[in-house]
Amino acid sequence: MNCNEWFDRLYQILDKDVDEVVWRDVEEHMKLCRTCWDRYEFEKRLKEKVKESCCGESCTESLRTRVKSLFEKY
Amino acid sequence: MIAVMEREETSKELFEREALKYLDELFASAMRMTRRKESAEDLISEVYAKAWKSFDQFEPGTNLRAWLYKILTNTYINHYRQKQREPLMVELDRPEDPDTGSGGDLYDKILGASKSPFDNPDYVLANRILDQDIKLAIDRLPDEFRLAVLLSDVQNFSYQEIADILDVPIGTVRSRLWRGRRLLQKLLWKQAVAAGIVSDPSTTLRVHGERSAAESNP
Repeated sequence: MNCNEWFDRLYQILDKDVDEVVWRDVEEHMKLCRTCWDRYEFEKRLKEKVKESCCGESCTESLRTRVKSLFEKY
Repeated sequence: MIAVMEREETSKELFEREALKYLDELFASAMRMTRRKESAEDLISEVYAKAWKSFDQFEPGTNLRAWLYKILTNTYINHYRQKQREPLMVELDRPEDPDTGSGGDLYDKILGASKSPFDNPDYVLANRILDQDIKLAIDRLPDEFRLAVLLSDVQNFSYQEIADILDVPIGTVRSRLWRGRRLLQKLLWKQAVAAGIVSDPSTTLRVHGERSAAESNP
């Protein structure tokens, strides 16, 4: 696997959407290529940061009450 | 008869308890979809009303969370998208802008602009790009990309689950995630340049320099 082949699969690698054979090639490449390893780590952190940024908002008690009252209605 | 009623009540209660576990995360997703608290609350109420009405269509043992997300995305796409988001869409560039090649690679761009260890990509991402920057960039993504990115990055659904929720082939999920994340990075870069977090070497903007001069000369 070269850098271009690796990059084409970047998000599938990040999301673990590759089979075991491909994953072994991917790991092998990242052991040898610092550039791809650094890029992978960056993309992984960005994905984590997107998750952290969008998880913070909890629903209000009034919405919870409203939703619960719907259960009683139907 | 009494036994039947008791069983029905038990399964309803179980459904209610299970479905309510996802209220907070569904609400957070609805906020990123509609961008308005009132709209998100209306959307969530509609989702739970639909879930409750079609309760008998839910197969116990299957993925309730994915089922609720399918209702959420369908309801959003059918009722909220058109009237809510169009004003914001106008300002967006096309996802693959010719001037950005791959469509925006934040890592390479920060690396290219880096002048010291304190503006390398990892440092900038960890310390200079704030949660609100990420939220703003996500809010600016077109729906089809935003939903795919939210379902993958925030909700951790697999590609197959996202394909089922959005009712599209798995290849479409891959393509939307690729383009959505490239565009997200492009937006983050533009926002970072505009905020003076990084200086864009491809323009004559001297935001960084002006800022440094101001800081050293109080």
